[in-house]
Amino acid sequence: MRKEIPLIICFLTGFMMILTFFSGNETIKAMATDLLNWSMIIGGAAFFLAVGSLFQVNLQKISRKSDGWGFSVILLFSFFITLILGLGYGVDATYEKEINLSNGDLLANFEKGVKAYETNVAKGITILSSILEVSDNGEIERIIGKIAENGIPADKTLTVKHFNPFFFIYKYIYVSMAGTMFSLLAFYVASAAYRAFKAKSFDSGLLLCAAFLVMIGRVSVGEAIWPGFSTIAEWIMNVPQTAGQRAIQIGAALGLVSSSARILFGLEQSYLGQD
Amino acid sequence: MTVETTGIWIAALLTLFIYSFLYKDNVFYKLAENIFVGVSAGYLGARLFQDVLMRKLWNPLMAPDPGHLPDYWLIVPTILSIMMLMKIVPNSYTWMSRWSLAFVVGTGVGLMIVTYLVSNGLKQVGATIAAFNGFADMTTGGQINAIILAIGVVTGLIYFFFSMEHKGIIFGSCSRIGIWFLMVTFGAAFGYTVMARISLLIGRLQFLIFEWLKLG
Amino acid sequence: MEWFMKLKNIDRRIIYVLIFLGVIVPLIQPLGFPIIVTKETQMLYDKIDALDEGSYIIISFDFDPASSAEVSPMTKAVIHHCFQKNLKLICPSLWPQGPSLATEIFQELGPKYDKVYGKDWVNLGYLPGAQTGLPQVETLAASFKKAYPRDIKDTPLDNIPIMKNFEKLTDAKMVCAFTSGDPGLLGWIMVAKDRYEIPVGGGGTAVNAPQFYPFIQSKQITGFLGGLKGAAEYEKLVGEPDLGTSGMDAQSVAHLVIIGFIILSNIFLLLEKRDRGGLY
Repeated sequence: MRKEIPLIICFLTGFMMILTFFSGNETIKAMATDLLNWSMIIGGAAFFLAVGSLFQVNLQKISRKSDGWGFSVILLFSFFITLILGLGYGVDATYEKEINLSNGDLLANFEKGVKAYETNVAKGITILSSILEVSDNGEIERIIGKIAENGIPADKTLTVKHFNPFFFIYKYIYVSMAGTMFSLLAFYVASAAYRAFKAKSFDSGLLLCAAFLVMIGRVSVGEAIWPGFSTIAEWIMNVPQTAGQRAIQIGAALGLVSSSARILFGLEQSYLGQD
Repeated sequence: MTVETTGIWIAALLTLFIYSFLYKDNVFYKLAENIFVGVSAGYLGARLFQDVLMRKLWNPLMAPDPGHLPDYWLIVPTILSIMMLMKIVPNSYTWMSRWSLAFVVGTGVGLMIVTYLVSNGLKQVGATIAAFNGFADMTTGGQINAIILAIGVVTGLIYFFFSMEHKGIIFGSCSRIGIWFLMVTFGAAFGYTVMARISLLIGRLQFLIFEWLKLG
Repeated sequence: MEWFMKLKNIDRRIIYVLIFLGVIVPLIQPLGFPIIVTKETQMLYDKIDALDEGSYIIISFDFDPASSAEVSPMTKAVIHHCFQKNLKLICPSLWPQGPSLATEIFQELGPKYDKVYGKDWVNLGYLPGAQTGLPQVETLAASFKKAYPRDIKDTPLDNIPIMKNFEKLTDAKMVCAFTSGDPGLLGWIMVAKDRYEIPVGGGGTAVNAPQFYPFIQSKQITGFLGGLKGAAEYEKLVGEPDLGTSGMDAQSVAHLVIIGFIILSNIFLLLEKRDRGGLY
């Protein structure tokens, strides 16, 4: 039954999805929505399989002291730091902290800082940044603006937004490196263009011609050299390219529908893996 | 030094470490690469924990919002998620992950059968035929374009029909014409791919020039 | 033919330097080539421009930082337009990195137009699911609150002002999805447009652009921004030149460099053929 039950599950859930396209019954639609919601949750949980695999590979490298094991230590260290900061501070750009001004002289000092800010911004910031435990001048300005508008809250509690270290890592490490990794491809494309993009037959010549016309017609310089380039590029994209893409998409759709039907009826079981 | 300035310098240095690979593989590139892999996995972990596990599972089940009852049906995906994770434990429990996989695959293929048939199949065929609507009132250019479009789609599809050999005056010629249309398609795709890669390089150099070095 | 062999086998690092110069010189010293708006970009602009003030529009952030150099500028330009029109923005994301990218953009544009989070826009966070995007969009079609119990700031959707009159997909007047692959725009077209008849537009990386032309011709999509060029065109239409516009001269010169390389490569091929033909 280790294969039969999953096949039945696959058929029933798939059949339910197909039913929602044709049935106006609200109960069926509600059940289908729940099934979809559950499949999204399970899909999200599957990420932890990838994490497990990442751990397995790198811990093996470290334990065997294979070539480059030191980098595996750095990888796992980066992973844990990012994860812990994300779980601790949240994944939003800022995290909020409550400051209660009714403790001791805090309220008097805060009012002193606000008053000082009106005449001497630098002095005001120095006083307020230590009370509010924040170094971002923009945040101090925002709080002063709120105080000017609404006064100090009755419960004497201010909500202060702090820059999130997790967002710092995301913005200055993750985003920059992701962009840079993929930008390396520009250099490889240039190298390939010089060495490999040769019109050795009529078909490849046709391919290169189309590429040439699209590359020059889709940038501003093409229009500047000759307006006809952009007209030709537009025509290539809207007529022959559309025709070819459409043939590919129709073919792929038919193939996808037939393989989906095979999976639904249990004729295709490779997704279940080996026994 | 502000937080932003520190961040920009770190980003710039890591960018240069990665670009050093273009000269040759080196320890700086490997360092940046491994930091990147670790940080991206950590980001995904934190994001999934917050957006999926907490917001879609834990909160509705264990800590519902005021005025809402706990959604006990979420016990089902909880169990299925745990069963999915059995894939990484020893063999005797791996079969459990099949139930979860079958669930996810089943919902996916059920939707795909109808949507792909309609959106990528029927509507595309319909649009090819609809291009001839008002044919008599079209300009000559429009008429030629509609004919070329139809020929391209039909001959392209004939090329993808591999159950018969591409021989003969009709089938062979049509499949040859189909290849030409596909070559133009791939050429256009290649042109756009070059555009995309260059754009990514432009993006990074814009950061280095405008934000880091502050030139321009 | 020694010069020919030397040139043909030139060190790849010299090629890298040439492409690098081809990009960096126009960035530092712009050349001022004009930006011509294409039909696909104009279609998207006209569609958004025709929406009434206060209409709900879904802006889906379906891309990651690797593609953000192309897709972020176009998304920013469209959000400029939406804020200029005082539309209400509902922002889901089918990619895990999308919500953070959305946060970055709104951090800049929100204050510029005096827009308030929760009232003028909401960042709903990441919606996981299948590669096709179909389960995710189908769930949103049924109920946003079912798909997203809370937003990115952990506020229940019931307590967010902008969500008071917004329950499901059909409450939106339009969907704009910005994508770097699947799940993304294709899923929105197949469900939002083909099933629920909600106009769909959007943009994506230049790699993805060719696959959407059949959908433009079949009117399943109302406008599409392809790559950095699409971003530059939209920036021109909304009057907010930014990274898209500043990158266009570099794009032009780099394309000319690549074309030059291809031409050289084929000249080498011809010379090799002549050489083998024994004419030398």
